Amino acid sequence: MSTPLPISTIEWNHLFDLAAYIAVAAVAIVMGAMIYFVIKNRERKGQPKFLPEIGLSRSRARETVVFASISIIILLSLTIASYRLTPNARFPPPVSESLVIKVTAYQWDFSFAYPNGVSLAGTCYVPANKSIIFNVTSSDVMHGFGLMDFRVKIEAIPGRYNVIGITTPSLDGNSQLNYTIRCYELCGVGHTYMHAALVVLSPTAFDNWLGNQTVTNAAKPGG
Amino acid sequence: MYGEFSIKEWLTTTHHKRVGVLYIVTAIFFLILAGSLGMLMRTQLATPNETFLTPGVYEQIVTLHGLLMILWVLSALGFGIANFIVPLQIGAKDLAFPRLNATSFWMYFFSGVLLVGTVFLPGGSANTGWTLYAPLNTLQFSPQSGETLAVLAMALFAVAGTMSAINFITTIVKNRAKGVTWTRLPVFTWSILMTMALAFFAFPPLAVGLLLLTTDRVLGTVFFSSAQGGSILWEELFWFFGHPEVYIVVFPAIGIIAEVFITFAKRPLFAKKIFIIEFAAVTFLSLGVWMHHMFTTGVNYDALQVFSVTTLAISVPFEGLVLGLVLTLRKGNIKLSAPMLYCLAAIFTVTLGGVTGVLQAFPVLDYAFNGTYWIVGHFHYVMAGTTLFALIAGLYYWWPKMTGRKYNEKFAVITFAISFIGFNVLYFPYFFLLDMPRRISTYAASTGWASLNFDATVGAFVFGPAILLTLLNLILSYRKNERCELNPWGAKEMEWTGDYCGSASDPKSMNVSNVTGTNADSLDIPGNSKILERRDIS
Repeated sequence: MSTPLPISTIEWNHLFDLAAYIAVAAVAIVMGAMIYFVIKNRERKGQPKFLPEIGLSRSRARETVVFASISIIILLSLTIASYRLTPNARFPPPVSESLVIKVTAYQWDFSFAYPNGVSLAGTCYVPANKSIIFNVTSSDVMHGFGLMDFRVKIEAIPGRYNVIGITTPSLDGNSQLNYTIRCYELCGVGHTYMHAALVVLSPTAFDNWLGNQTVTNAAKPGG
Repeated sequence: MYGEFSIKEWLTTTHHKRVGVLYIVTAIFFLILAGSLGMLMRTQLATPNETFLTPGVYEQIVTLHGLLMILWVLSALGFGIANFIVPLQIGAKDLAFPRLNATSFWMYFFSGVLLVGTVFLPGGSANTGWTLYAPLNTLQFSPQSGETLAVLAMALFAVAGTMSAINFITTIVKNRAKGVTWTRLPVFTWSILMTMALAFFAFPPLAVGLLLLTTDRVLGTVFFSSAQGGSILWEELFWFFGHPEVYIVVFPAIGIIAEVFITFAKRPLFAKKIFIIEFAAVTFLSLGVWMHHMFTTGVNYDALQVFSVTTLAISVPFEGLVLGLVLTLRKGNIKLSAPMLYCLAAIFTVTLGGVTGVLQAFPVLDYAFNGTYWIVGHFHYVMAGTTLFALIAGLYYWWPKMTGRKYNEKFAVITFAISFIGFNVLYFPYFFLLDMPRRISTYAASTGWASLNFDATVGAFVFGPAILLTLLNLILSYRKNERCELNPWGAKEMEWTGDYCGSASDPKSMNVSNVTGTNADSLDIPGNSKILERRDIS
């Protein structure tokens, strides 16, 4: 069974691929030119000791303007593309249609609080095919809240709530989908081991799980 | 010939050449130390679930490696070469304030010793990463006195850097020999002027942040421990310094590459005037891009977009600098000596490091890159690649000027090839470790990061020793007690041609003792007999 890609990942990959192709082409052109010049102009006996600048400064200025214009056009196009290709990553889904989860990072774990008051540490259960808003804060030092499978990341900062939204994919025949939430900001000696699980359940399984939790005692689904 | 000086003379010297040598020797010592720390980290990360280093020790090593490399090695090595070369390039007797220069050096020296010394304190050294993010850097979360002293060491460095900046700017503006006009100013001196202009604006905010942090830690103030904005306040102060710092490290490298290209391609710099304008544009813009280090702090997206645009804007003149260097080679008679090879490698790494940086300038893309090994790969291509390679090129290129000796060319080409291959085996895999967080001391086998990390470690064990051999080559040049030619490269720049540099290749001589005996034909100015009368600023 294939694991479906989240929409934000698909968008990110599109933009990254586009930018990466241009980047590789740019490196290839500059390196190609440099290597060509070095081979073409390699030292030969009998050449003058010092070659004066040839060509008018006006033509050099023109070349510079041409190169600068080309890169400005490319960069502007990429900026526009970053808007067109990544609407989900830039704009969190509306709160009314989303499940809002309060995430508190602390040394060295994450805890997740649901709207009905249920809260648990180490694992975050979410329904499939649903937009989720994480309201991220920290109770001690700065942490990073990173969900690399969704290509999103936001810092967990004490005294501040940062919002990051994702849309969970459909299960596509899987019973559940497992992702890893990692801390991406050095937060002390436990930083290495600071990660949590994000588990995507079917909407019914999620509702069952959430309904069975008491506010103080949250446990694994089915266990 | 440096042996002719007594220890006392070394300790009390204010002469720019000897202070330059002190900077270079000290920075190389820190380079070997910080490089060894890097090797320890790579050893730890070679295999999953490794227990060679505990997380507590590993985080201290991460912090020391970063701080030493960025501030005490790469910045200082550039300062050291500038100390030696800039007065020669502009025909100045010395820096404008020689005693201030010596003071800067000794503050730099003792701040480095202080930083390294913190590892011996109970509780160990700073373990918060070189960025020292708040409130992890406060007494509550990092109670060890090593952290306080590391902060003070950084503050001392920032003050020393500010003093150097004032000194160099004054020297270049006021102490040029007559005839060394702005248009004739060599490009390395231009690069140092830009570097110091940035240092002048970037180091004071760092010093302010560090002093506030010190009062937090010593007197119990709450600038950064406050839950309301302490973290962001630190990030703003730190990155307002932190981003220009990247250019403080890279600019001397660009200047060295330009000098080496001019000499070994036997050709003037392509469109020098435009090159300098682009340099100035990068300098100016680099003071307005720091928020791109903070794309994931939850700042409003439109505000981020402004800094995304300034970051893209800075890439245009910077790309102009790289193209200007490459187009210098369009014609010419290129001799592939070791400094030239290092500079060509530096162009490769700055191009790759540059385009990956442009990708990071898009906030949406940076949501994924931030805090991962992609970032580590990006800045090591710029710092360990471009800057270190170019600084080695600078040492090789000016070694005959500094010591009257020449390194072994064949040995140099072989160590270049090994270090370049090792460098890429070490850092290229990082671009594929997109989800591996920075600064973690180990990882589980299930993450799938093991094989790329192993590759990187193999690369580290090639790259590190190759750099040591590179430096050994310079030391071995002392084996034979014979002087090389005064200008072995046939270079046209003033530090090689002007006999105001003392007897051209003699590092121990004071400058400008023989101002009347000019060799100013190279300057091509009519009536050149008075050309090297030094402007007096007193």
